[in-house]
Amino acid sequence: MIEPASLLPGTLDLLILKAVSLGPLHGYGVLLRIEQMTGRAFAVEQGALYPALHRLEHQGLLGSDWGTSENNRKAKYYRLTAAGRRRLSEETAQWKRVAAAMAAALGASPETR
Amino acid sequence: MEARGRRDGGGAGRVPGDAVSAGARLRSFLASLGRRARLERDMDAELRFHLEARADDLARGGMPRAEAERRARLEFGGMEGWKEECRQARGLRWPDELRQDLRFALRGLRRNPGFAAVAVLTLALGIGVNTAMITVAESVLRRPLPYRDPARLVMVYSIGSFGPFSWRDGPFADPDYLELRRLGAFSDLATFATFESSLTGAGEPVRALRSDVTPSLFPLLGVAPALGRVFREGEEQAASGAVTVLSDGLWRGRFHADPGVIGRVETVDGVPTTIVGVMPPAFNFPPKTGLWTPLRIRPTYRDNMMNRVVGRLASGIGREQARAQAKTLIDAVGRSLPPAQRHSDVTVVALQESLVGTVRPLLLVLLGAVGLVLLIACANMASLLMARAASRRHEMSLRAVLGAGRGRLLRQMLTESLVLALLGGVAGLALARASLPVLLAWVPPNMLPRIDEVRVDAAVAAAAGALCLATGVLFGLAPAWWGSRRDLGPAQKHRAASASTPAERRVRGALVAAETALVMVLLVGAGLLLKSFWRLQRVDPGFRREGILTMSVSLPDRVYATVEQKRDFYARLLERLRAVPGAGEVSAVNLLPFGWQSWQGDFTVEGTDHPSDFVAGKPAVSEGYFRLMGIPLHRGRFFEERDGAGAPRVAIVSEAVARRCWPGQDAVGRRLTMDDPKDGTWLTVVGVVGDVRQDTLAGDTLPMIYVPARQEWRGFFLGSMAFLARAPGDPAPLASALRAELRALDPELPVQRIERLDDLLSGSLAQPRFRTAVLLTFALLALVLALVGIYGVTAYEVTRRTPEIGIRRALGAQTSAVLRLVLGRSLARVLAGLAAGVPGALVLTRLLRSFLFGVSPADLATFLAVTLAVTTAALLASIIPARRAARVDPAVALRYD
Repeated sequence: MIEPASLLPGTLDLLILKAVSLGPLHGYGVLLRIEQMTGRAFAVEQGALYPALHRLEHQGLLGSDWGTSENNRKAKYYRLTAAGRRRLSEETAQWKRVAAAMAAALGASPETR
Repeated sequence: MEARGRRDGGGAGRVPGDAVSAGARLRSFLASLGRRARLERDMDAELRFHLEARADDLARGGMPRAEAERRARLEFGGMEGWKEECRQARGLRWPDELRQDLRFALRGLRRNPGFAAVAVLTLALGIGVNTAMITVAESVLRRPLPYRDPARLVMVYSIGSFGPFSWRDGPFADPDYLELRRLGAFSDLATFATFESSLTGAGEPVRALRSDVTPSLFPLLGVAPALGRVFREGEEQAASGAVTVLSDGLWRGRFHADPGVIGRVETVDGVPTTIVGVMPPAFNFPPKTGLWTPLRIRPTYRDNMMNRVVGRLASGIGREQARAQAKTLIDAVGRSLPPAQRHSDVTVVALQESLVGTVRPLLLVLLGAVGLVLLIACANMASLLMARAASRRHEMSLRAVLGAGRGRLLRQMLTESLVLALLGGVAGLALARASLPVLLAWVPPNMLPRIDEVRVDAAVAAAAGALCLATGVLFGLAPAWWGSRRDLGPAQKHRAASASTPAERRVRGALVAAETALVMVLLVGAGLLLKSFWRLQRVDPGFRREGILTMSVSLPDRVYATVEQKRDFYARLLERLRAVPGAGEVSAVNLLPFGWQSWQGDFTVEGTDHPSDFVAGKPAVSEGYFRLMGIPLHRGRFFEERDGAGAPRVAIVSEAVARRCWPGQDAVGRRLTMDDPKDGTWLTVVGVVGDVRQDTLAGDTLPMIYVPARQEWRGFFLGSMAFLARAPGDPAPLASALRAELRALDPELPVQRIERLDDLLSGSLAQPRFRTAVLLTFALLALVLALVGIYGVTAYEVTRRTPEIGIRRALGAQTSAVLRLVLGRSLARVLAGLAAGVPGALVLTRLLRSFLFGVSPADLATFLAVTLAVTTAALLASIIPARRAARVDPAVALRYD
């Protein structure tokens, strides 16, 4: 079994924004969505999710409402705000540039002399 | 753990805090603050939901429900830690934790009222005396004078010497003043002189200080009158009649703050004078002036050496530059003057320094002393808090295990000490406010300049606050650091077995030693002053001090213009006083020892061509003076009836004059003169009397040349006279009789001072007595604090060592051995403190040198006495807990804890 990789700095926020952009989710739902999206490649510590959620809400990137979950429990649902959506697209573009550059760099074949 | 680590990383490439999110953050923060309780509930519900949902999922996978719930909690990790991070994410952590810490600290203090009371009291005393002293020092030394741009105000003094005379803060003659005015270094100058004066007219005559000032003084200082006007330029030369400006104090005291006083005519020293203005209360220059009159400048007159000069530096000019300019000028002027009128140098001193410079050393010493008191209080607090931290180790390690970080524990304990510091500070401030008026009332008159300006201002409040916070951090930091250590777990396990770690013991020992050293320094200082004072009090003044009543009488020149008028008045008054029943012997002298004035001068002995190389007092006395004062006759005779105005001029010299002028010879029959020998009046010495101290018990005796009052020919020396009467019992009836006789002779003379000679002598000791008492008070306060500290540490250690002592007892240790054990440790610490205190005291008591009399700063007896006293007191403070230790019952002790 392959060890789940560590999250790169800054990626948890991006993953949360991405997860929530597909529709409002409660905290546990965010966790499941991230696991599903990444194919469990990353280990997200469960407790660590909540400080991140609260911080994003504090920054105005997420909004929240109380709703009822699938099994009839009261749960706090997070949704993306307009600012959150802007931030997501900015960071996605940024990430893609970095990823492309990294891929190019690592994929380059050795030069022949 | 990974996600936790990334918090500070921030988003890669994110623009930090754009405008939208900054606003959102602030709103979120405020909303969170406002809806604290709801937020906590929501957070609980949210996390509970997570755990339940996770448990549901796990249970669906086939896990038993209970196991699933346990697993969910485990996976989630430390719940409290995450909650804390959530709060922090909302910016809530700081106010939240502060509130928590505060609540915690207050609860802790309520639960230990004894600890809290000792701590707060200790601090209140430390901070209280410091605030009081800082208030005085700040108000007197540091706060700018209440005049316009006071930093540029300076006194200009002459320095010089001639024969036996020398002056350092000397005057300038009027021509010099006029020259100084021309210098570019000063934007303005004024000159002034101050006299005792009497104010008569309607109502009781009063005495007040009168300052003759040039009209430039008021604009120079930049103070406008509260009522009326100040002097006009040139007014002093005008023939339109005399004018005066009143001080606020005189206006309130004598004129009941009547605004209609402007334009009223009062009699000032016999001259009808129109009141033209009243100054505001803050205006107090020259110090203690009751009324100002215009000074008449005499452009060519050089014999008046009374007028001091005050000035304002021109902008961009420093004191040194001004001095250089003035020096060049005075040197140039001096070349054409006789040596007696030449000044050798000039100084330019900040006005504030000239007013308060004399008390600076004392105030600094006292500030230092209360600083030491505060340090002792801090050491006490540190050992108290350390003991407290130790008794709370269990609780702290529990909190550490539950996930509280070291920083958090540290902060919590610091909060507690800050709360204590604040409580102590508030109590201390109250103490300072309550004690300051008492302290100020206790200050001898004329000792503390600007005493009326002493009050708590913003700077004092800031200093007290800073002191408070600093002490909170100072004494809170070490125990907090030590109490929050990570290795608390193991330490806690060994709690029962080990009393305390060696490191703790060392710290406690160091605190006790430090307190002892500080107390030693203070007590040695106080001891030296005490011994000086004792020495001073035992100095023989050379005359009888008990049972003599003195009444001073001043005659205004304008009423009693000639020498004959004055002599006649005194003779008649003497006659009347001698007739008063119960007065017994009565005599008079113009320069009363420890009286209100002092004049010294040189003289020339017949057969020499130069004046004496020392100065002498030259009192004029009536018959019976020496007998009344108990001054012994060594040779020759006293003054007698025959030494009248027309008789041959005679003098009586004191032993010191005889010894220095005619060593090994008989002084009686020799002649001397106080004038120019070429055309002076020669006085024949008819007697030699014992030496007396004239102004101070501390200094040398003043050589004296007495002349009969009836032969005194210089009106200047007859301006005032002190009448003496034997009053063995209650002096009050005699005092009123004397006063009545005076009034019967001249009702216009203001109420004169009537005092017992003994009180005048004691008055000369008022300043040494005051500083001794104050320093002694501080030292005793420090001693009490240090003893409380030593007692506390010993008692705490005995409690901690109860099991160990129990074992020793069980193994057969005698009571004396246990006592030795406890007292031995205390003694070792105290001795270490004394060892450090001796060099400390040797260095610091040198600062006291100018206050000492007849005692060396390294006085062995004082050091020994203090060492003995401190050791004894410390052992007494330790013996109570030691005896408790000695009574420990082994059976109980072994079950202890």
